Amino acid sequence: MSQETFIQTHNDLWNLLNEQIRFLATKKRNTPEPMRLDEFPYLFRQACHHLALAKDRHYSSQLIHRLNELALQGHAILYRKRILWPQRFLVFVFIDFPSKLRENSGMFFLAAALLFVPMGIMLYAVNASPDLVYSVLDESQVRDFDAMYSKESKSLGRIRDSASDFQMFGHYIYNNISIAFRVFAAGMLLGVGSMFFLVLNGVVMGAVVGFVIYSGNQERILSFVVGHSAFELLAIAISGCAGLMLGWSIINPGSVSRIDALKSAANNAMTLVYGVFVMLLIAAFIEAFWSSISMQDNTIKYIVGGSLWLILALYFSFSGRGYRGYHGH
Amino acid sequence: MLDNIKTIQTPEGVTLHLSLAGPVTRFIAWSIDFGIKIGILFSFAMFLPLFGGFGQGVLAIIFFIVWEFYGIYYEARRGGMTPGKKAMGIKVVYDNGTPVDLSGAFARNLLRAVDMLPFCYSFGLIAMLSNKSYKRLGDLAAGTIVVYCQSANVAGQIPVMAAHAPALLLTPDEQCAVVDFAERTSLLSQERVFEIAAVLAPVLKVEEQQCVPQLLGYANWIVGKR
Repeated sequence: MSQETFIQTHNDLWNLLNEQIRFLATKKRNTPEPMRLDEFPYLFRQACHHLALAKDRHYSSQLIHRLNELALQGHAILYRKRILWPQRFLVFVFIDFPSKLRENSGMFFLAAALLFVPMGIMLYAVNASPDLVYSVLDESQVRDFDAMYSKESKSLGRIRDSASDFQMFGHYIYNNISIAFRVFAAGMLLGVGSMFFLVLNGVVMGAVVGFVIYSGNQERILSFVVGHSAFELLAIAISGCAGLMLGWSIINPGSVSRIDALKSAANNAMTLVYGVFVMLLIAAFIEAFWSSISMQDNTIKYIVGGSLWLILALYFSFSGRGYRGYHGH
Repeated sequence: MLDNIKTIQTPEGVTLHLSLAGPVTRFIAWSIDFGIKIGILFSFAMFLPLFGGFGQGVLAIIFFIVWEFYGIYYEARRGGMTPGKKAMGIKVVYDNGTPVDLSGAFARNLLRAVDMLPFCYSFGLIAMLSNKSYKRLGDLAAGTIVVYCQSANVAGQIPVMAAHAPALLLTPDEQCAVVDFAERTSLLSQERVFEIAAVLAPVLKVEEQQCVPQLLGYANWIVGKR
């Protein structure tokens, strides 16, 4: 069959398919639908067949280019994903996120160890020998921390007394979530980057708490952090876990290629990163609007803080057990 | 072959071609996006601080959202194109040709933090130049590629001419060459067209001036406009 005859025979089909693609691609629909939806895959397969024929019969580049573009657009429409967001979100919160963490519990405990062990060591060390705090922080930062938790400051955890709750909320969002994203991304550097950030965060936090305890203000700092500590510390550990997963997939891809192992690990890690993001939003909220409230008797703060730790521990251990998540595994 | 074409095997059993976008185009698109982000943040920073502590808080949140989620929003919800990419005519797709969705956009944008190290996207550039599909580290992890929305078309319409059958027997490759030549005549200068066709004067056994019409006649015949 000559090219001209070929074009004349099938031109109508290609134009119809083109119209249908345009119709499906736009959200605003003023015109009626060119064809029934169940006809679309059939016509698309035909167009692909015509493309293969055109190549095989060495038809001209212009025709092949036209059919290639048509097939690419149809391919994009046919294989795109559509997600129902509210349902998706609930499934994520109650099933996907905790299950994914349980699947990678080994990495998580490693990340948690890299965060908490240096924290504990530094806390003890600085409490015993306070000059050690200057090995991780400079003078002005130490002064700031001292001022935040000293008996003279009117509000807990604020650098300037006049800083409003909402301003601190914005600051925590900007600061903490960016840090968590970096901790995760640094996992690409064979996991070493994430390890470094976890240890660094642990050491700095341990030093600060140790120093404030040494200064005698332990009541003020502990009542401040206990509220949001569960969400924030676990979120940093989980984001470190996600980074380690990335790095590990490159080092030990198992029986697949490194690229495929990385893609699969990144996919899994993203579930954890979404969860980290939500946890840090909650932590910022608590830190800005609850933790800084000065109370006569801090017992209720400790009760709330302790309960949050318990709730999160139960959530990650048990939520979604036995259910199939969004993707059925 | 040294080109920027990526082939995709589809379930329909046909091979599709996508044109990959190189580092330079992507860098220009990124610069445009960077400028837009700075512009947005600057305009908010102009008036929000007037609202005191509350304004500062809102500014910090807006800063965070714009900085981290600009790319993710546009790539996931606007057909893989940020404004900068749209200006350069490129878009992000998965490496099987399907449109990119939230998890892909999220992964590749978060990993920008690593691509930017140690300075000015060096790791990203090295990664792009090290694999066949110009993927930076974020693309490798997310399984995405950046392609041109419309691949370059070097073929125009064949000029209409009275068709007549080739005097000699042409193999399929030679027929393709004649048709391709005819399609490109509208894109090349007249002198160049004449120069290319004149090479065949001894084979076609005509005067040099007659070569172009001869070849166009053959092209019309081969394509079937008889």
